[in-house]
Amino acid sequence: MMEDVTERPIALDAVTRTDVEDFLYEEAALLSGWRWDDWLALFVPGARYEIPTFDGEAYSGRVAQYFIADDWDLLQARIIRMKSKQAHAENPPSHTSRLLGNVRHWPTDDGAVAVRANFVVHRMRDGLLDPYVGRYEHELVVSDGGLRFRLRRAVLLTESVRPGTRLSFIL
Amino acid sequence: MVSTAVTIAKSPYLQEDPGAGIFRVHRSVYRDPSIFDAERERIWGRAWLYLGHASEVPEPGDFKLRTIGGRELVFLRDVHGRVRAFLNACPHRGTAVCREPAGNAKRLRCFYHAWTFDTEGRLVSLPSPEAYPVGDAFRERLGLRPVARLEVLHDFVFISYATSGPDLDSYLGEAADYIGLVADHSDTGMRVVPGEQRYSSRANWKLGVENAMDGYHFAPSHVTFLEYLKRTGFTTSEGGRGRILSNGHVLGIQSGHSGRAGFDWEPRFGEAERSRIEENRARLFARMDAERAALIADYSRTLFMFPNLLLFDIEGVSIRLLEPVEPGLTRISAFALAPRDEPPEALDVRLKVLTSFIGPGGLATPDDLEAQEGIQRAIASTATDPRPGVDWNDVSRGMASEAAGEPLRSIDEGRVRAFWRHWATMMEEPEE
Ligand code: FES
Repeated sequence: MMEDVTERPIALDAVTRTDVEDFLYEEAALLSGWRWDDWLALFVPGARYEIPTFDGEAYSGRVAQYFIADDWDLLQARIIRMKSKQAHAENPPSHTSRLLGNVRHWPTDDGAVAVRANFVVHRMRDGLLDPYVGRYEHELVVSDGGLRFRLRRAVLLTESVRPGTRLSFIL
Repeated sequence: MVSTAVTIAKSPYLQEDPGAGIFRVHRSVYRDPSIFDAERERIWGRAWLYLGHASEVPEPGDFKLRTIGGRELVFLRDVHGRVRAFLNACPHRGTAVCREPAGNAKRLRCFYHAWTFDTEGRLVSLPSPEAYPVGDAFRERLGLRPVARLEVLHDFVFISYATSGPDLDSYLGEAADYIGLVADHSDTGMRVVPGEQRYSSRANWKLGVENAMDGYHFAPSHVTFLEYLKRTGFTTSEGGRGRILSNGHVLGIQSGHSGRAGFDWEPRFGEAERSRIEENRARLFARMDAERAALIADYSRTLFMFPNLLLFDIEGVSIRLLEPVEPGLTRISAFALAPRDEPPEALDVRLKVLTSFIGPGGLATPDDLEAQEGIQRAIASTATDPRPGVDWNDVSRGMASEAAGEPLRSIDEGRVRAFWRHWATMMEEPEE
């Protein structure tokens, strides 16, 4: 999946929680600032973006229907859409406030960093304020440019995508 | 055969004049709580409603909670393998018997006073039974309340809350054939894949029906999705037909609109799928006559079964269930249906392709939700306008060709009109 990136082997104790937090906070700022190209640069080619369904969470995106199961092609298509004036669901764009906490990380067997963090994302649009509550289950790799996503997964814990809300922005 | 018979709608909420090309829907039908309450009784209390697919409760004792037509149901498979549905209110003093969204149980026990029911709904034990009248009559009277009627067609489970009325066959009419075409995708049967997309729209349920039955919005609303398809190397073809079936059921038919998982390759399925699709097609054509096989393999269809089922037989098969909550709030569930024996790589492609379009995170459905929620919000502004015609939606596209007996085009609004005519009939009929 990651043949085309230069990776340096992870020194397991080299990545600190502050590194992970800085990465996540910076990412949140890019998303709230609608800075799609900078955001996409946080991924290694071949990476995935996923939001599981509530009863599909126990399965992989390959045997369960997810809300979002973007491979690299689809993720790029999603970003092209986000930038379009014709992505009606996000034009005008919604505003988000993103709170992250309970950040933990550990090395995986195949040389990545598993990240867990809780999120509360508030989305404002059409005079409404909608909370999205859940946790991130990311896999990061270390590249020359710093930490990068090879899997970005947001797991919603709200039992359903709450009344009137949708996933037309990046959660 | 395309039905061209047009019944003029008789309803205070519809204005129809085929000669003048007028068809209008009054906007109160989306807003008015008293209309919503009347629908509960006259439509949701009388029609056949889609409940779920039998594969969702595959084993004896499997159950799921599901709210249909405003009533919470336990959808289960009893220990003998029969699919059933019970109202989830305890026959004793009414609390929710089942509080898990899904699971497997040989007995359902109400925690409040510990009455216990078997999977056939019988009250099999209760604490200190001697405190109640002697004899079995008491127990027999207080079993779980089943829905009035339940019937299964090709593993699609339907219920009705009405004790009388047409049976499922006559209710569905030709719509049953299109459900049959989906069931015939595989000789090993179809199953709902785990992963229910549960979401909702702040819009009336009928806006969800209109949206799915209107090909007119497709090009302007989903331009980013069409551009995505084009970039993957796929050219969509224009055109598509509509069909009006009985009882408010309507159908859209397209060919060359998109690829079809398992049957019709397009570039974004990937090279590996090409040969598998060829084999799968050959298998399909070998087990039925060529005409039917071609119908299954080469045409995309969207069936609306009045009032709550949308069956998308498109890039993949998606079952969409509409559940009205309030005049301006609809809960939606989307399920992916796939051949039981589909290999994991092919299922992967199917789910990717389906999810790229469908659901609250797809590249297209959010724009549909934006349109519907926008309608619900914006039509408040015309509600009290004194000028005639201002508080009405125009649904007249294609009336001239309809009157001339030409085949329905999917980009016209003929199917939406057919829905409204049936809605009006249901709402106006005196209650039985
Ligand atoms: S309410 Fe269920 S046992 Fe009393």
